[in-house]
Amino acid sequence: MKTLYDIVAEQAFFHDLSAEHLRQLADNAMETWFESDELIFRDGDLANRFYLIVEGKVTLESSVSNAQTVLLQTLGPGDLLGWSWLFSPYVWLVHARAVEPTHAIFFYGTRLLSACEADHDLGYEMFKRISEVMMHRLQSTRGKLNMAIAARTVGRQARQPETTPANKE
Amino acid sequence: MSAHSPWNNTRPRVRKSGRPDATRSAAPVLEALKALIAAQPFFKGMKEEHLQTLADSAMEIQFTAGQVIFREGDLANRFYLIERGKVAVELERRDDEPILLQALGPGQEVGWSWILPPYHEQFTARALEATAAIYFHGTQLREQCEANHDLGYELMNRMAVVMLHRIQAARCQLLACHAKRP
Repeated sequence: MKTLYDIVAEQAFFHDLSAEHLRQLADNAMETWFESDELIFRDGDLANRFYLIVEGKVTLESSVSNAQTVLLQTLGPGDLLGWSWLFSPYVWLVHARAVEPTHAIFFYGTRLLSACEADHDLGYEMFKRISEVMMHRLQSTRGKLNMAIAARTVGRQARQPETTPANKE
Repeated sequence: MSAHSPWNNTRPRVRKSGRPDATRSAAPVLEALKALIAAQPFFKGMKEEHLQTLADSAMEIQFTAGQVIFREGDLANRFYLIERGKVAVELERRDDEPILLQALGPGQEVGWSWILPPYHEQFTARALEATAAIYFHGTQLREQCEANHDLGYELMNRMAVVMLHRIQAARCQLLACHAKRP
């Protein structure tokens, strides 16, 4: 039977961390499960935690209007979910929803942030790892933005003949 | 380090005549640079010794309107703090105009890719008007961050905030695209 420490220690995200830091992380962790379609956190809620996904699938969405949300990212096993616990004002800026039955490790972010402040070896390791995730998310958002702008340009070009004065006459 | 590195320009210039006051005369300039760095809100709360490390890797630099500061794909070995002027962070597009991601002004930071592999600029930075900035030699600071995690924590923490703002700007534009769609 694996202990929580074992599960934490085998996460690729924590690769190369010292046993002492892994122990600190495990002391602030617990396993958690979400049902398909369950909301994990909501835009505007207090961000006091993060998760590593062990199994399942989670989407990050943002609201455009009451009726419309835009899919920002799909996360799967090994992925980090949530970084707003690190940054003032410590509120979520997106919605996270399980889209499959999902098994994750919950980490108590508020306590870990204090631990990072007190122990800069841990803090440096955590920020370095989270920054890498942020870089990948930024690249992926950028790819989506490129596609959305290309789609909009195509849409505009297709509509253009109807709106030019020559055509109206 | 390459002899052509802009970093080398921060070294006090010793005249060929070898005047004895050649290095001493640079001291007030270096002190002023350190004071300028210490006054930056971006570095607020940092220790004296870390501010000194930053100052030892810094120099002031100017850009003309329209000048490219770095281009997407370039080796990322530096970052800047804007003193005066305005800098665009742009996404390059194949066969098309770049997308303006953010326009940054005084006190804001430009360039975070120096801190993370693969150490390539992810965006293009361009001066939108005549701009004065403080240049920091990232490669050197990165080595110091690895060796000193107190400094590493302070810098990584601040760079992560910069990345967060870039992500938020990109997400905002993405949402705007979807909202405008018919």
